[in-house]
Amino acid sequence: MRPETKAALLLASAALAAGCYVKVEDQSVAVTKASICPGGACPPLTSTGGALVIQVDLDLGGADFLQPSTDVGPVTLNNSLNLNQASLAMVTAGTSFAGITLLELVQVPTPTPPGTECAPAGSRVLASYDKATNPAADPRVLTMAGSGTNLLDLTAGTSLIVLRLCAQGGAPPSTSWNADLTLDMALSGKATYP
Amino acid sequence: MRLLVLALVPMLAGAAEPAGPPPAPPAATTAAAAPEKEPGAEEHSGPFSPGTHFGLGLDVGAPGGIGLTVLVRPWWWLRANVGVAYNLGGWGIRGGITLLPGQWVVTPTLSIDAGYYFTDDWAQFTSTSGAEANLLRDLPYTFLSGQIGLEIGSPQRFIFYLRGGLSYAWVTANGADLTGVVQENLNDPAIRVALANGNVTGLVPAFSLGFLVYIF
Repeated sequence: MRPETKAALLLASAALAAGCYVKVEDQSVAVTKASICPGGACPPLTSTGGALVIQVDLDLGGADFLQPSTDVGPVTLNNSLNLNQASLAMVTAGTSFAGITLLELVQVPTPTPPGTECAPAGSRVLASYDKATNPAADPRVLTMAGSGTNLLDLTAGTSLIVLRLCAQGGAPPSTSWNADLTLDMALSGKATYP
Repeated sequence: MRLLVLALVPMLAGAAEPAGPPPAPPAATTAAAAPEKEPGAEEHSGPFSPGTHFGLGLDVGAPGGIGLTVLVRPWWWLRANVGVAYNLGGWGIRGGITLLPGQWVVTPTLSIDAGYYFTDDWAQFTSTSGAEANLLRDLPYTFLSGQIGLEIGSPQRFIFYLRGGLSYAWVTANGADLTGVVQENLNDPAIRVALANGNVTGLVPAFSLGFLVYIF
């Protein structure tokens, strides 16, 4: 068999056997919830130490590519939005997170269980900060390493994710404060056909 | 029809023949089993042997769009092309090579092409507005295709062809435009978003049909 014929047959076989696909990727999707405590009044931590739980409702909105699946012409993209890291940035002047030793970002199931427990049954830790192992260079910004969770698996058919920030340690912050919570994620979607 | 049969018989029967230019028909008794040789297609192993070597091509397909190319054939088995492309959404450039196992009236081919569309305005074909329209107005893409095909005609003058295969294509979506789309669909005014440039890649079917004319 001629080499050209072999090459043509090989290419034809590959075309038949290959699964065609379409893939969408965005390595940085940053979603920021500004001023996580309405009215600028997140409670302070006492100097003797303690725990703090703040609930943050995060609504990802209705953009097509932030849904678990997206129709693109004849194909359906199955999307994922994996959490790389989350950061809590102080916006109140004159204070910081220097006293916080542990900080976790937890997703709680909906409907939200009653009470102020940080991680009720069915909840999942999405990201965490440990001052002992990885102290923040800037005490006004705490960066929590993400576990790579696909947040689109947590929306349960809606665009809403209920989160809780669980902090342990002491002051500061010793006065009322507020902060922005930013989730840095990677978007990917893939469809194979036929 | 007779020409088609004459051309197809050696293509099917010639599987065991060594590579290289097909031999000229030596005698009338073997004409039925030999490829029909085009007048002017001289036996010559070097580049730019006697015959036509430069021409123009016009084709249409996906994802290449409509292409107008100039052709050069330094050897009988290799043809290169480069030119401009248009796909209703914008303009681009294209180029590629085609390998031919012989110079017959009907000839199988193997082609590799690449192209880049500088901009693609798909918003004009949709009813979207606002941020989504901005996103669709600026989607430059690149593609690399491998196709097999059949060429029919005179290898020295005019050829019609049909090709099919696979294409790997990638599109870059502007991060600011993506950010606008997400921001426009948010329900909570306390939320801000920022997206980096996004990439859309795909392995998709490719096809093209067209013709080419050798001028000199």
